[in-house]
Amino acid sequence: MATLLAALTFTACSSDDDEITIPENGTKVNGCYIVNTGNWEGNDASIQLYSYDNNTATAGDSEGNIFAVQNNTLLGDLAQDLLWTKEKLFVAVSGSQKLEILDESGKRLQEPYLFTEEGASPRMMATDGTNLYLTNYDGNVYVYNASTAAFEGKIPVGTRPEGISYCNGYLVVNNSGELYAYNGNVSIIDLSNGSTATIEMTNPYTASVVCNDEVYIIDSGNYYDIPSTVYRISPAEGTATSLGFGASAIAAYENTLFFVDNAWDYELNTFVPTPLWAYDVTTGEKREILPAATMTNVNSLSVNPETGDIYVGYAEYGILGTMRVFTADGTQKAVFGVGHYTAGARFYE
Amino acid sequence: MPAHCIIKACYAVLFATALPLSNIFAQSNDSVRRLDTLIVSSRRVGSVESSAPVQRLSADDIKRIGATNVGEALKHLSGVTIKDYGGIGGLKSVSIRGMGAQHTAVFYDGVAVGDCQNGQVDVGRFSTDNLSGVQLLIGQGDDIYQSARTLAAAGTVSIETNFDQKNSFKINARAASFDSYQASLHVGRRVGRGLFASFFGDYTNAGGCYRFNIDGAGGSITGRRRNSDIESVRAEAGIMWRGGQRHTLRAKLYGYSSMRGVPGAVIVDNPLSSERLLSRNIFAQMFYEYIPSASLRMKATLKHNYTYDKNRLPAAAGSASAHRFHQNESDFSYTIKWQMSEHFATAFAEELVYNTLRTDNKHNVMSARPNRLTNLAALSVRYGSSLFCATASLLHTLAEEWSSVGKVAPRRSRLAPSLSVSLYPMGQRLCLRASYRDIFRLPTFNDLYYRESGNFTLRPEKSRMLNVGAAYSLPECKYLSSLTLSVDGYCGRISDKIVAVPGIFVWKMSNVDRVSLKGADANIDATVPLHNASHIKISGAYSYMHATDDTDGSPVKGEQIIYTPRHSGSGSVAIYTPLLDAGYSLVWSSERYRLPQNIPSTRVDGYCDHSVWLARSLRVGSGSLTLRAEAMNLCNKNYEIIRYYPMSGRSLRLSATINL
Repeated sequence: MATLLAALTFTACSSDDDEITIPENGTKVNGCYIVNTGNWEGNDASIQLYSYDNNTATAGDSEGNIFAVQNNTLLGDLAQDLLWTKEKLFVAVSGSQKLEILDESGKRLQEPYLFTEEGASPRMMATDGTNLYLTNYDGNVYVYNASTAAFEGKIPVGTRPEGISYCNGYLVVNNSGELYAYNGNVSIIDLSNGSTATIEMTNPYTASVVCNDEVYIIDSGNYYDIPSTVYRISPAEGTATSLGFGASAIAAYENTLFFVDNAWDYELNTFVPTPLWAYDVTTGEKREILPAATMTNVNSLSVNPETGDIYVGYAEYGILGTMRVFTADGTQKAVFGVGHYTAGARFYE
Repeated sequence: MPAHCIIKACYAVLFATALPLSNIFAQSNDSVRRLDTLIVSSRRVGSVESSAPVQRLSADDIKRIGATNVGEALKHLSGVTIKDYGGIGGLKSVSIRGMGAQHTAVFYDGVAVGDCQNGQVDVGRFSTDNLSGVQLLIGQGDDIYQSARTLAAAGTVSIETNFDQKNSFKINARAASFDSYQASLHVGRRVGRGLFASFFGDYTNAGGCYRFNIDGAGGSITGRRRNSDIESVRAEAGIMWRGGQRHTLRAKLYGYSSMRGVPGAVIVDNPLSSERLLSRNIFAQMFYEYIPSASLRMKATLKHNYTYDKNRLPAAAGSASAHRFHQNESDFSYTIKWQMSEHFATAFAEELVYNTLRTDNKHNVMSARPNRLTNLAALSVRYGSSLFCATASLLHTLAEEWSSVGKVAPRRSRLAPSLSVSLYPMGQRLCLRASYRDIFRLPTFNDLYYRESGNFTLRPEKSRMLNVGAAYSLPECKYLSSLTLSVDGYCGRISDKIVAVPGIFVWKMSNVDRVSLKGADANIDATVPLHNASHIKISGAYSYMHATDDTDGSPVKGEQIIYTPRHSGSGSVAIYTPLLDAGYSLVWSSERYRLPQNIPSTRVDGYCDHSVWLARSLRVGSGSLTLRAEAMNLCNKNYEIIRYYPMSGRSLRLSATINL
């Protein structure tokens, strides 16, 4: 469990309704970050801080956006992912086409790295403990050396790469394919020799997690007549195995894969969520953690790798979101406001 | 100007357009009313004789406010919200009383301008250089001699072009800040007995790369707009034939082509912008009216419209992609009106509309190849006397869709009633009015079939509106040649509102919202005579719009809907003298919200845009040369109508017009 050394202190909070304020001087804090994508062309991406001690977070609106408060400027348009490693925060801001590198208080350590080519939008990140790997819509995985604080090259992959995971010397990259073509695939890159294998898919999107030394992804289908499917990717074998169920969000903790599906139902004319399921990847057993009613408007799913706490983000059009924290057995631990279209909680890696 | 000249001028204007033609003969048994109607229609408020709010901007009004396109002109009317994405090439769509642009029908010389793909017409595309006027009608008016499509919309914008019945020649050249240049040519010729021809062409080339400075969190965002250029060319040719008082035939061929940048919003840390839009629009339309007797009249329109749009999108993974859309609309309408007695009249209108949308992209952006056949049929009755007028209409809409691929929406059939009453207790000086319209709009093809977000099970969006108001026209006196006032209050509701609902990976169009509408519009228009043939014209408009989310269980129930100001208005003052004309105009709006949740971070500041102008007309032979200079947005504030789409700062415009 990493502790957060932030240039922040938290004011006392006695209930879930309270929010943490962001003072000027800080101390050590147990916590994690919430990254909120924001609205397209809204320049309202944000980062919040969640305290384990108080079980609540900084405010979901701009007052609680630690980036804006620390840097007195906007984070930008569409924060897609945040990676917390080596006591730094790396934030991929897709619409703003940049990578922000921040300290743990959210303050900029340097000017952002701007991707100045047309359509070069940074998307999702993974790390092997040394390097940071960043997918980019220009068809590459950018390699950033956290020690030298410099990009050291890029690895060509497929069209519009999205989700990425590092697993035992391999990178597994979801290439979502051409727009509306549903011709995506998965690239498996052997970092020891640079070779790349490809597995054909329909539409693998942002979801990619590591569980029990294998990678699990969602192939989102075409949102119409090809349903979503969860696949297990075995990087060393270069194989993909369908788990036989669909999902719209997944998260991993030890041997458990949590998943929820929230597909559109043309009969009912609404998104219909399933319960939150826990799937044991070693036995194939599945059990319900939270009922479907708890999953209405679900937008993100994350699990604390230390405690197994489940962070469920909820979003509705045009209003600030909500996040609920549940223990591994489904008991609600906290509820707090988040920004627009939260991408989920991020923990130390 | 003497009254008979005003009447003559109005006749010239009104004969050239379809909708006002009906006014001229509507009360053939009431010549006094006829003349009043004509005089009033030359004024901006123009609503004293109508049971529904009508506002009209004449060519002179448009000059006074300095509008170069219809979108800019409509900003000066009450009850209207223009979504303006800034720049000469930026989209400008019209929403009436918070109902959304899809509820507004736009007519060009009496024939509907449709857009089945997204349901909103870009009124910024229409130049004002060849217009005789623009009229806005909200709800159900007195006139039952209307096309069915007029009766099917919550409000209509009628764009009326010049159709001089004499030889005329007008050339206009204009240069403005930010590398903007425009030129237009209008020629009118009498080519035979009762036969007239006209041609209009214009060319626009604008760079539009202006600097901006807008508010961001804790500071400001500065930069220069990129990819804001536009180059467009438009040409239209028309003929009109008048066979005595019984026959009128007008035909028009219209072509438009533009290539423009799509600058997008100002994005923090990302100045890149490369999306381009090629638009082409060709239509041919014909209008024919036959008046066999004093009690019977009929008119018909026929139109075919083709629109091509090609969006070139930014490259992804090293390759650019383009979306191409082909829209076709064929439209046939007719209206028959029978004046059964001195007071009673009835009318039947029918319209048949056939729409298609095709794409030829590498990967189809639409899930279907939709075809839609819509039949609109309306029966209206009217009782009218010098003291009282009442109308009732019942409109039936039947829409059928089919496609060779994908699933399509089911057949839709609906009856929609409209009612209006008006009282004239002081003759034509005072009108007390009330009207009600229950209408709906079909989902657009984008709503239904756009890949991933489209939803073919969508229900139509319904709107109901009740309007109560009064209009008063002061008799001419020593200090005022005219004064017209109008005040209207309204309430309404939109149900089954179509909005996008977010999922985790994909959004879906859905009928989820209800909107409550309450508001008031007020207009004033006055002319003050001065010595030596000089006069001052003053006009003002104010709108109050309380348009709130009314969805049960919604966390934003009671909050103002997006981009709808609670208060907005406009005003203008102009002085006309033999030596020089000069004027001032403003448009203002209170704060708005960019998202349904009304919180500080979604607030968009209000704005006020001030402009001044000077003009001088010189006699050149038998014609005239008019020189005009305008300074716009005097406060030099890059205000935003749409958040992160800053308007240009202070700018200058010079123009020269030769009339022969």
